[in-house]
Amino acid sequence: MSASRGRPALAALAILAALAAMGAPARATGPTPEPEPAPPDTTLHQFLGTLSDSTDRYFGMSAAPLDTAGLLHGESFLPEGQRRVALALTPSFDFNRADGSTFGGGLKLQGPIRVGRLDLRAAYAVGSEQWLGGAQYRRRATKHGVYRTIEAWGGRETAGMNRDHSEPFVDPERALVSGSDRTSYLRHDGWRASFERESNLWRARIAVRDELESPLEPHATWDMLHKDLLVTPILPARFGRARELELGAGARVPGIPFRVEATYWTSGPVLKSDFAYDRLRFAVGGDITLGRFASLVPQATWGFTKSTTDPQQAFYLGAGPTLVTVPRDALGGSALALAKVELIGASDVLALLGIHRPELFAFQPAAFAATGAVSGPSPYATPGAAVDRWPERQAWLSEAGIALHYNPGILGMRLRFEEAWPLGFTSRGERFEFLISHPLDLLRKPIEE
Amino acid sequence: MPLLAIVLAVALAPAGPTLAVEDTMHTAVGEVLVRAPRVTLGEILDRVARGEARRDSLLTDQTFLATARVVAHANEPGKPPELMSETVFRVYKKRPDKVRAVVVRRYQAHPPKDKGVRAKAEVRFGPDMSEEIVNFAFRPEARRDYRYHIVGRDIVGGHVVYRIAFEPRSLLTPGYPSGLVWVDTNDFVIVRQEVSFGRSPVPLILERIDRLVIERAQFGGHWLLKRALVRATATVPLPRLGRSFDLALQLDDYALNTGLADTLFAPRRGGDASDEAPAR
Repeated sequence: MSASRGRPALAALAILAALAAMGAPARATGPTPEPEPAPPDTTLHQFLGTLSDSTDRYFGMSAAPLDTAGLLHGESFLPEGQRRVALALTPSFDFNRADGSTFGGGLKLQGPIRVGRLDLRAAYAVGSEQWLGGAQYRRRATKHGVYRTIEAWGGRETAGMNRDHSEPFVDPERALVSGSDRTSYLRHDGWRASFERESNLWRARIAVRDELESPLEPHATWDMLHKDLLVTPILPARFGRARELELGAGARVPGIPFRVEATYWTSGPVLKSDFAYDRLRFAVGGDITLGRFASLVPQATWGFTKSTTDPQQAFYLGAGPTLVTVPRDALGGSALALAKVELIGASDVLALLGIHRPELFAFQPAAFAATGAVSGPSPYATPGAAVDRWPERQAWLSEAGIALHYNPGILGMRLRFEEAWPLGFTSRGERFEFLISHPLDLLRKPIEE
Repeated sequence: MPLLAIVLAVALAPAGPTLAVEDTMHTAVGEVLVRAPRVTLGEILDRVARGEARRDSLLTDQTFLATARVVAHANEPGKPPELMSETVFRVYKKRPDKVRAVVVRRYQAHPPKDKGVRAKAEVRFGPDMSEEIVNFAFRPEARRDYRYHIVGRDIVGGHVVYRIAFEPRSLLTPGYPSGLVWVDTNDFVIVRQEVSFGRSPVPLILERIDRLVIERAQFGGHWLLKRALVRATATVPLPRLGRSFDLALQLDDYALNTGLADTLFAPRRGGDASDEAPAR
């Protein structure tokens, strides 16, 4: 047995020996001229060519050289900068309890990249019997990794009362299918414009708006299953013309994987506004990689308003990126403080369980804990409480939960299925939430994501 | 006695060349501690960033032929690969922001009945010549987003070629790319890159990216993008493409810094009407 095993080795040794033997006389016969060394670049190209050859074999006809025979010359131009304006018609449907079913459509005019894009929209709200829509212009230029975005909008729209969070796809579905849309709405008539500069390291934004804000009443007190809505009344906004200046900035913290951002909104008599307020919001979040197994994502936010108790400037707590065990926007105040930490696994659940699955079903497991509170006068109650920038100790609510994250890889979205349990002595119960969001959801998502 | 020994030695010596005494001499050399500093990974990354920036700065304009291909059934048992479309462009770029792309051939295996805008498979070229597709992970602003390590060094001719692997620091987005680049240390430019994805970046559509190769070649002393090849497997069979398909972009026939006239990029009346070459 050992002999038979040894034969190939011996044969190999023999061959090597033979090769060596063939070389030996040559050395022994005296010096022979060494071949001229190839020029360095040629050798490098040969080295890269060897790698390319293997690539050619792998990709086959995809990597075949171009056959230049029959190529046209001269006048068949498709100039990038002179591209025709592309038109696209898109139907639209929206639903909320303020407007009911809203049928409409949009006309998108996409010109050359330098010119930008114009979206024209018009829709009729069957419930409120009003026409909504307007025009939005957007131009984004990218140079050396820096995005510069100009946006302008003018028209009439239904906006969410919560300025810090909205769920444009999920809220209409909740309202229509299960009547569980808890958000409040107000009407905007006017215009707004913004300029933003964003790079991988920092961003800055300036925006102005001049909008008439008016309260809305519920006109659709039904859902598809003809059940009563979970929440029917709409928190009434204070009526008036809002002329506002917004300044925002964000940056990555040097040396550590954290980002910070701050946004400041101001309105007052100087801007000939019917409202007078200063609103500030700070947020910080990090992405700490734990080996190759998980990411730890701590986040915190703090915000407050000065000089106003208007519902449209309040901070809201509940669901969304805040506390899962508190229903959406159920609590409000003139100040908000929130901190949460999430541990997100890198592998997907089924793979961890040893179940073979297609990539389509890759869900990342996560666990989280959060605490938060609002303070100051609540928009849901008669004003009277003192404006306080930091919540009192007994106002804090805490929870812990688990989640599944799904990354479809489209538009930077992340689908989150969360189940949370309240911590401490409380009447709140376990609660489930579905959310379309991104991992650092207390901060604005970077453009590159 | 010595004479006898010499005679015997001559008589018994094999025919053929005779080894000189000095050829069989043995000696020993003591250990030598080499104190030459080794280039650190950080220095290499700095030099790559500078090398790429320098490479970009040397280009004022460029003209090239770009071939975009889509190949269906690229790796499916029982189905031969099929060239679905091939579009060849003549592309002109000039600093700071001028670009023009000319279609010089358009082939589609199954031309759609709709002759409108949607029927055209469009490839857009930007004016930038820094080739971000090659160096995206090695730009200064990307340094904190990736981890790097030296995989190996190859001495090729007069060049030292470093192989440097990179992977994203964050695990939050599993579809981020990792990869391996070959860096020629004569110019400190990336000459080849193989990109891999641990997980599909678009699981709704793609089961996986099987392979992604990006190659540069030297044209007129400048390292320029030569081709980018991707093979992907779809989650479900795509119409006409099947499950496995290739996307390829090849760039040839470069002409650099020829002083392209601004008029080449000027608007052309009636250009829209003749902007597309007939299908082959």
